[in-house]
Amino acid sequence: MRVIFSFYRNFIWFVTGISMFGCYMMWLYGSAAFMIFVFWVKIVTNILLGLYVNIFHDSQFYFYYNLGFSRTRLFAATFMLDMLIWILMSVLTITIFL
Amino acid sequence: MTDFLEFDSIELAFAGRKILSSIHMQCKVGQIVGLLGRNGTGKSCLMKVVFGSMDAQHKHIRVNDVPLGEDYLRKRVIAYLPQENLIPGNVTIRMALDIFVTDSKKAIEVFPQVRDFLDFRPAQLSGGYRRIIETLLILFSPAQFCILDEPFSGLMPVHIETIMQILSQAKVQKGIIITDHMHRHVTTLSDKIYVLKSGKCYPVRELHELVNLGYLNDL
Repeated sequence: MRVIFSFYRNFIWFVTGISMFGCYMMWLYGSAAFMIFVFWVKIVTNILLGLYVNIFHDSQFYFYYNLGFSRTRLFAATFMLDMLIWILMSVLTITIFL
Repeated sequence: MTDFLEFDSIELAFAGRKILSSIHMQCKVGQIVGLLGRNGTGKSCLMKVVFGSMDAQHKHIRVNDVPLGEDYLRKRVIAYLPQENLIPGNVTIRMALDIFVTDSKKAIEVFPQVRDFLDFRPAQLSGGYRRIIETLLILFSPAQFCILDEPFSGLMPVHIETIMQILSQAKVQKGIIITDHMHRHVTTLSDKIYVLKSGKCYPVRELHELVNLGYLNDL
């Protein structure tokens, strides 16, 4: 988990910012329907971030390879972690504010 | 029986241009194997193929005659120090040691100066200290075999001596493959030497063969 988190920290502010923006929109308009829109925004931004890291931070993968993580495993695990954090934030927003 | 890493039948080509052909090498635990070759002969490619981060048209990699099979990266049998920086910019030395090394205390004992840099990020270290720490990470990782791509590059003599001492101690429990253009250090350290030339791998028994193989002009 620490390995996944250390990779996730590369773009934590960006992806958490999008999750928070989604929660803010839900609170502002009082509708959970924004989750569907934010879901697709998160899919697209995760793909773009993945491409960015693949192209511009290629060499850091050797650190993770040595820890037994292939690129696919690393991206899949961080994507799942990001989606989990976003779902938790959204559920909290719905429970508390809507 | 001493554990050994062996690879053969490695075939690698880019856009029809052959880089590696019918490569065969063996590295036993307790040995340092030196790999020499001119620029562009495919040393780094060979190391990446053996490590498992680069695909080849064909490869056969075994430990104790047992093939490593598909996706052996996750088994952590082989560790690899790339030419480039190993530690990502957002990871502190303390964190790298914690997640990378099985016994970080032992690693710190070997190179006590690392204590001064535990809360540093790689960009805050000099190139020499960064390379020593990266080499430590690889050598103290759980992998039984370590591949080091240019561990001496850009280092001052004192740091080179430190890495050579660390390597000599580490080989007791590891099999180490090393490549570097500082051939005197490589030949001093190595129990066995290979030269890569025109995509083929040649074992070297006497140092004058380095001249015959065109790696050196003279000794």
